[in-house]
Amino acid sequence: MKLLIIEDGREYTELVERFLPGVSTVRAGSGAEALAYLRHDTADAVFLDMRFDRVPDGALLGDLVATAERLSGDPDRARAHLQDHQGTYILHALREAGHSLPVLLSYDFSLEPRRWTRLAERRAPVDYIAELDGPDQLEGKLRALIGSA
Amino acid sequence: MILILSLLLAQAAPPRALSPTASRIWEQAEAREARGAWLDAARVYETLWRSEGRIEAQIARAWALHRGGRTDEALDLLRALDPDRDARVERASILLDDERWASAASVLDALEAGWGADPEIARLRVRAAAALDPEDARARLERWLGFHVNAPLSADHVRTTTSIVASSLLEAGRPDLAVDVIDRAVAVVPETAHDLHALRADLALRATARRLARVSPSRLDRAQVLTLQRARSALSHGRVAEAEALLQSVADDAPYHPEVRGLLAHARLQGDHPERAEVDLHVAEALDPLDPRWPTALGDLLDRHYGGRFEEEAFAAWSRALRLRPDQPALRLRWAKVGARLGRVEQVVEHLHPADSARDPSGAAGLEALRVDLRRPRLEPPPLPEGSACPSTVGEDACDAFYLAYVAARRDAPADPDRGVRADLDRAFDALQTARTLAPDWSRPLNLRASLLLDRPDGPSRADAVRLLERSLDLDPDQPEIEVLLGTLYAEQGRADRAEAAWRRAAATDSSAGAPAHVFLAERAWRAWRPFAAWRHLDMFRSRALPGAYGAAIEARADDVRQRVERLRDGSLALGVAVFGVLVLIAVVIFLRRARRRTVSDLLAHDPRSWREVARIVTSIRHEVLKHHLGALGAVADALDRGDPAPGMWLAERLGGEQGPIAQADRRLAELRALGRAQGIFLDLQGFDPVFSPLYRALRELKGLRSGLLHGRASAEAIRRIDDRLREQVQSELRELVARACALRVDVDLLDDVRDSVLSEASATWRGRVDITNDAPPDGLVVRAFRDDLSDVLCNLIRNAAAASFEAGEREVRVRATVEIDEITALEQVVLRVADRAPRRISTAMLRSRYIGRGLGLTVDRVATLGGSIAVEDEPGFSKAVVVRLPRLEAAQELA
Repeated sequence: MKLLIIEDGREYTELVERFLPGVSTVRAGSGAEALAYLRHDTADAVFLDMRFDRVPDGALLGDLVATAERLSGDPDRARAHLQDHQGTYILHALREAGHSLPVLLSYDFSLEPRRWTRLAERRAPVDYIAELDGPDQLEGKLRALIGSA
Repeated sequence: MILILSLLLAQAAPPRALSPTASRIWEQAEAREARGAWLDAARVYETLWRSEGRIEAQIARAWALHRGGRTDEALDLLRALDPDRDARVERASILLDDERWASAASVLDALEAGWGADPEIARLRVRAAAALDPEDARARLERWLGFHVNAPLSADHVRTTTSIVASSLLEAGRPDLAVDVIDRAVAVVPETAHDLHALRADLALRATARRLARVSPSRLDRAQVLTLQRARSALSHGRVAEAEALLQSVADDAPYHPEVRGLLAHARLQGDHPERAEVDLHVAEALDPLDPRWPTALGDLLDRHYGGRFEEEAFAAWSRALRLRPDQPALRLRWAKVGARLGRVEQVVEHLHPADSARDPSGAAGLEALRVDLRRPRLEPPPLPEGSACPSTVGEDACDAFYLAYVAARRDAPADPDRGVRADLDRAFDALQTARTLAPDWSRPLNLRASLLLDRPDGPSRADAVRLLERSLDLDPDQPEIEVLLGTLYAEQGRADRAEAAWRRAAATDSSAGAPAHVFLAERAWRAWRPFAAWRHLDMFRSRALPGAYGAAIEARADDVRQRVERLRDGSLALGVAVFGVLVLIAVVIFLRRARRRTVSDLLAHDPRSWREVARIVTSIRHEVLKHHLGALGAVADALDRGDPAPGMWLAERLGGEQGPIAQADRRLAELRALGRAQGIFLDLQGFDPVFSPLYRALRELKGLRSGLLHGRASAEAIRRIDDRLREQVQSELRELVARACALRVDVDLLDDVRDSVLSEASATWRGRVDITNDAPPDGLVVRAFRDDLSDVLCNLIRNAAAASFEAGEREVRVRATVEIDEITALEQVVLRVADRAPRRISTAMLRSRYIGRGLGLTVDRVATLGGSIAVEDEPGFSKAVVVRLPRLEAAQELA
């Protein structure tokens, strides 16, 4: 299995490489990098982090100005909003670009069931894992996603 | 006498009201005097005299010249100042000091004739008379004492002058009159009683001695004085034999001159003839009982040359010297040390303190030195066994030899008059050898030999003494006093165990002779911090009485130990009380801290507005600590179970460092604690908070395991236990900690309450002319906000809309709550729209500018703190709507 890992650090890449030897990984440090990769290459699935607070503002997907406009014109709040929800912006961009490969989001949606339902409906195939889910859960959900896709 | 006169008369006039420069010159002159540079001092005084013209300077110069040996020049200087009274008095004083009694008397008579009755002149005249005519001196003394009625005389002057007159009367063969003048002086000036009565006793003693010796003091002619000077020179150059011969020649012609006998004693001491020196000093003291030099030297001799066996006599001699001249701190210290050894501690301390601390700073040091010395462990050999109990097993010859040795070793024993006054130790040792040969199994010769050896300060002698005493105890184990002494010697040699064993044997005999062992054992117990054992020994010692000076010394030592033990007991008690107090304080602090400790939930309840900061910190912990680093704990444990240490090492690497989960968590928890402190709340995250204490413990345990993980030795079970704890006690609790905080349901009821509130305001002049309608979903919408804040926002918006509508002649304002869903993030927002038909005088840009009015600035700020936004938008059917958007909460929907 070839897994495209989109994260602003290297934590998940290291985790997968160490504990899931049957999974080959490709890392993208931002949504733009991921889209660029997928223009020429492909993967069996995507592992997508939600929060991207270690990348420059220019690497964030989403319109910073429009977001600020919605948030009382405050650019700091807009930047924080884009960082905190960057995973959904990347997911949106992937689907808009026509990539329908399975996506596993690293975010605990258990307290936001309505939000998750909407995302799952619009961005399928997609699933999520919570903070302390380990390599086993990660692999299990990935295989389930790939199998259902 | 000359010395006393010099000391008392040679008081240079003190400088009065000198200029600063002159004062400095005077101090320089005094400094030269202090080191004996008399002629230099005289030159400095001359400078002062020439520059200042002060008579005091000329008088001081005269005294310096006199002391420098140029007495005639000094007298000429003073004579040139005639008829100045002070100069004439000083001239008389110098004449007295130079023993020119008649000339002094002549000057003083002239002064009396010119100045009339004057106590100072009269006193000096008494002294001159004492040398010329003792009975005239007695009459003059009587008249001088008469001055005391109108002008109190100095007690020192009375003491000294009376002593001189009494001494002269004694020398004139009138001891009865000497006693009379002393009694008369005491009657007039009672403060002198102590010293003068002591002097009377001394005089009586010396008078008796003189009668017995049938001697009278003699004066030296010029040739004898020159011989004396040659002898002094020879002595100073180490030619002792020559000096002794010269002095002996003078002494042959003038056998009863005290100076000659004193100097002869000095020479004989240097020539190692202490016994003859002792006789000379006795004679010198008998000839001149007022000169403290002789008893001082006699005490020195007795103390140094007889191995300490005549300390009593030395102490008595020094006591006489100190009575005559108390201001001798060095001598007083030596006297005190000997007195302490003789058991006269109280007497010594009593006399040390007032004398030395008042007169001389070194006296205080001396006193301290003595106190230290008193505490020092000291060898206290018991006295030799008394009595004539020769055992029946010992032959008469052996017994005689022993007693011959015994008396030979003691000067005051009636042993052998032909041997003089000094103990004959050689003879004593010879006799003891005979006794031991004749009675090899008799212990007493061994004991006596050991005792004599102990008088020698050298080490080998002490070692020999120890062997002798051990042999003695082998022969006769029932000698507790020898056990005590042997124990002391062992202790001195550093053989503490043997010393204690010997003392225990002595103490076990339950006899007076063994009683000192209890003191030594008490001392040892005290040093080992066994105060109760020390008390027990001191109690056992207290029940016995020891006779004599040795007993007094042991008593003093026991008292010293007792005081130390009491101090230790008192100190321990104080320490115990202090420790108890500290423990109570710690307990109180812990109790108060426990009583004050709070959880993060308490913080949110106390200050709900802190939820935003709490949420930020919690999100960071979930993201930076749990998600990034700790999701693999279970996998690491599985790897360890399989015997694969590599994942463990990988985890250990990630745990460390500034970006590792432990450091990150520490920083976030510190932020939480600071947040609590800002609200005056003590957050106990480590031991009390149900969410954070399991996290804290888990991270500490991980930190403890890190080293093991790095070296492949960690326990999979421990890792799994931590993983379980994080999952069961931390993950969900963290997630829900802020989820339900500050949840507020926005429904029609809330909107109606807001409307009613606005209508009830006095400023609502539009009341009844503008209708306010509310619209919201039946179940309401939950946002994270505070009711008052949201009410304030809505009230302000409604108030403005209603007022503007009333001004524009419009009648409707509509408040509507709806939901918007973000297309990308799928986040929901609660949208509160306040719409009216008044002309549009406000825009989104105006809301975001600094110059907004109508209270909208506060409204904008409130919305921002709620995490929302505000804008002015078009509204179908209305002219505009002011729109507030707030994040909608999901999980708390059913709870709000």
